[in-house]
Amino acid sequence: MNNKLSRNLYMIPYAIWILLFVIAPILLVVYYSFIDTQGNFSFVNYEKFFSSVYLKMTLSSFWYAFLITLISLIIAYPTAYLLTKTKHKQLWLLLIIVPSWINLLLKAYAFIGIFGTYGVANSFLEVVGIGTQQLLFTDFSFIFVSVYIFIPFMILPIFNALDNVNPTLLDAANDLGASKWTTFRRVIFPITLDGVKSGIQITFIPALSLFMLTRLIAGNRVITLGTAIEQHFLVTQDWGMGATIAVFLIIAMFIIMFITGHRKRGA
Amino acid sequence: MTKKRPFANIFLAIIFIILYAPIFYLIFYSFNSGGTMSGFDGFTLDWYKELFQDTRLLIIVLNTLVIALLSALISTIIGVLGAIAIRSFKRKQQNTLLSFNNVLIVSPDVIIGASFLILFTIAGFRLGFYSVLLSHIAFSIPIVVLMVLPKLSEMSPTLIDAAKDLGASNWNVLTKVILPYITPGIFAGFFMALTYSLDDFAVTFFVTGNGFSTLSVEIYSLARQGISLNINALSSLLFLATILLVIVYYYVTKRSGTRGVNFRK
Amino acid sequence: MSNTIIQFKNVTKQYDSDPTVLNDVSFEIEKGKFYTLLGPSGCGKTTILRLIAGFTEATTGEIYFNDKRINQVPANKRQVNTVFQDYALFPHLNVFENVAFGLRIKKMKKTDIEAKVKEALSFVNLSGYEAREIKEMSGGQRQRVAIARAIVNEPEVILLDEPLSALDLKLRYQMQYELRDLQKRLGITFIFVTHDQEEALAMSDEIFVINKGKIQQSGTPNDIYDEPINRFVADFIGESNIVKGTMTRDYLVEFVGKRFECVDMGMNTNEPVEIVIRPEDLEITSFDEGMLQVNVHSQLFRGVHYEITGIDQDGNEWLVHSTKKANVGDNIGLKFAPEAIHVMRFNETEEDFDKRLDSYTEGDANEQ
Repeated sequence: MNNKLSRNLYMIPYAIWILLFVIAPILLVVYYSFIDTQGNFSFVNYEKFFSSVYLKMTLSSFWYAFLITLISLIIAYPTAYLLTKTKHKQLWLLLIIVPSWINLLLKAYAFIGIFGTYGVANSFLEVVGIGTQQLLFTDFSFIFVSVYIFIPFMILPIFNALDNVNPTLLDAANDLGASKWTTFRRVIFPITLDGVKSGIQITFIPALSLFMLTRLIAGNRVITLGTAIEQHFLVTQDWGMGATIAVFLIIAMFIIMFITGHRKRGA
Repeated sequence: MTKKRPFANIFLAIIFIILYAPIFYLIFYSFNSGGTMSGFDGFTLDWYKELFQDTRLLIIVLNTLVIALLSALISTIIGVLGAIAIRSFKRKQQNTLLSFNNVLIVSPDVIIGASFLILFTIAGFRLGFYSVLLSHIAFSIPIVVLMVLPKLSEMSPTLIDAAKDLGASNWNVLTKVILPYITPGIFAGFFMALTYSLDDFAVTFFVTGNGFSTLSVEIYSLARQGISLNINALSSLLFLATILLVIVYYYVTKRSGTRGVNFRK
Repeated sequence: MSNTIIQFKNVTKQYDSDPTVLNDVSFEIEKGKFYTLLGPSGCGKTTILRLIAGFTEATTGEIYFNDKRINQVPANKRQVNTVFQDYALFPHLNVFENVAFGLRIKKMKKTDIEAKVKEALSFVNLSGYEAREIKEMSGGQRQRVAIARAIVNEPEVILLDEPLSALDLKLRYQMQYELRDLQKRLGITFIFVTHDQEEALAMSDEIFVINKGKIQQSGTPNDIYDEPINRFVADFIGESNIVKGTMTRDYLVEFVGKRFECVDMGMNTNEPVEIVIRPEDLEITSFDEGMLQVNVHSQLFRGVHYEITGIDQDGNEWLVHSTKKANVGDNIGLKFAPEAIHVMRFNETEEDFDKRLDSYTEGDANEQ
């Protein structure tokens, strides 16, 4: 049928894209992970990855990502919940999202100023009486800025999930004798779990891989998987090792997506 | 709800202040004659003047815009056709195609950047304008597909049957029924592709050569050198542009009736 | 020249390895008549429509249109137009442009298009609505736009896929009259798909009753109502009392332990059969005069009649439509004429069934 013909015609550029920019890059990364610095096939990269230096780095990268995700969730859930109770909730939500449209680097740059030795943060500490602290280039500043960046992304899916909860369900729970807290624990939270999972997915994976933040804010004190990949590809030019770390990052990504996976409902 | 909940309002207020403070902090100091982001010495527009005299920076801005517009345009064309093709497959095949589609959406930027760098190097492709353009097209296509697909699935299949029933050829069906119907989705897709391209740093950072730079990459290298109030001036302008873009986007989508809020990764 | 416009020859439709949707279906459609394909959802009636329209292809078998094989002709080249269940009106076009769609595809002259669209809209009583958006139209109005969009192309056959199912009851009745009237005025063939037996009986020249991918019975509404071929048709069309029985000999049938005179013949002696008696053919009488004795179990007032269920001594339930009132718990008698008894043989083909019925009328003619 000529239906099939036109479909195939539409498909050609898209299929080429899948081949060239989806499948080929993944295969190339896997291929490069088996190439050592001399250009020979070997498992040396994998041996290196399982050495204590890289394992420690991986572990700390996961730890930071976990902290960032957890703090974002703790702040984002009540925010989303309170937002759904406001009068013009769509407008407020929009205002929450606008900062996420601002270029990431500009926000990071702002914090260089804020956390600088003479920045507002330190002036504030001075006034409170704690005195000037080294804020920039610390774990604290890295986590703070990361949470700052990811919060809107965490709020949005949770807000949408909360907003979709049918209000009669709450009446029903009330009617059946549930207290406010029970209603939340037994009805609202389970229903919004999918939103929470999307939020975690949207935060955790980038938190593992963001490298400009570690460079600009953490001053190389924190090395994430992303930083390590960038380092190997663009600084030390050891593409094999970089590709190996990328392979593990991809595996981590699939595991996280599997854990937080749920029935697709569209964006 | 007229119930007073001071705690809730204070909490929300703090969140909003924290979210917006850094942005306004940047803008505030762009008018500082002192040259640092601490201690406001006096009002000046010097940083803006300097910005507009910096031809190198203006060329970078131009590059960024050209890349964004071109990549959004091309990825929209490929993505729309791809989405239409996906819809005509059986459910199982659709899901497989969608998994491939979503790989680049969920992949961390670093991996996209690194793998594209390998790809271009192996293919012997010179890094520069075209490698950046191709990369931006590549990571924008899946977003366009995702923006267009819901519109397509919302369209009743009987509409296509009806058009054919009335004598429409496949080309007629595409131009007279499908494309007009999914126009809001196409606009949303184009707009998303545009913002993805404008905001991208990591992928561009990997695949850009020495001679070519976009705004994000430029800001990064400036920021690594420390504070320069040129960047503040630039960020005020970008903030204004972003707000403008958001307003235009909401106006367009409100009018064409697409629901829901979307944002970049 | 034959009067046949569409012919199906041994058409089977099967998707992948799923069970067949249509199983070896053959029939003919004549010009200028109102046909109804009637059956429960999933019976294959819509598939027949889609095969005629060209939205899907037959797995095996032949489809002829005006004596030309059209199996491979794509939908946009066929001389039929469809009114869809959800109307499938283009939401981005206004009423005028929706109706003009097919004419524009044919690249007709602007003035001609305008005249034809106006005419089609006045045909469905929508003059003056040209500039309206589809959003602004009510369900009934959308229905008319969909019909106008089909008839403006002057097709030889119009296919209607459950077009009234989305309308409320009152509007549906009104549209039934209008559709029937429209078909008569246009003089073209209508093929109407529905699962609503009342709709089918009210509108059609001819009904095809379809179940499980097979045509069970075809005929005029009267034929099908009065002489259902099997239990499915009897049950699906109208309400009926169905019991098992035995054909003792010609003109004598036994059921619920009694023998009754009937008008059926030509079957084997003592052949097991099924008996249908329509509820309106049962008449309430006194207990002693009744041919059947039942105990009244329930009674509902339906406006035009009482709907009474009674249970006989064997436990069979009898549904009675009567203008007389009964009292729940009373024992009453039921009587009926020999013509009220419809005898159905098991697994009888439509061909044999028709032959048997024809032989009765011959018999009647001989008697006179």
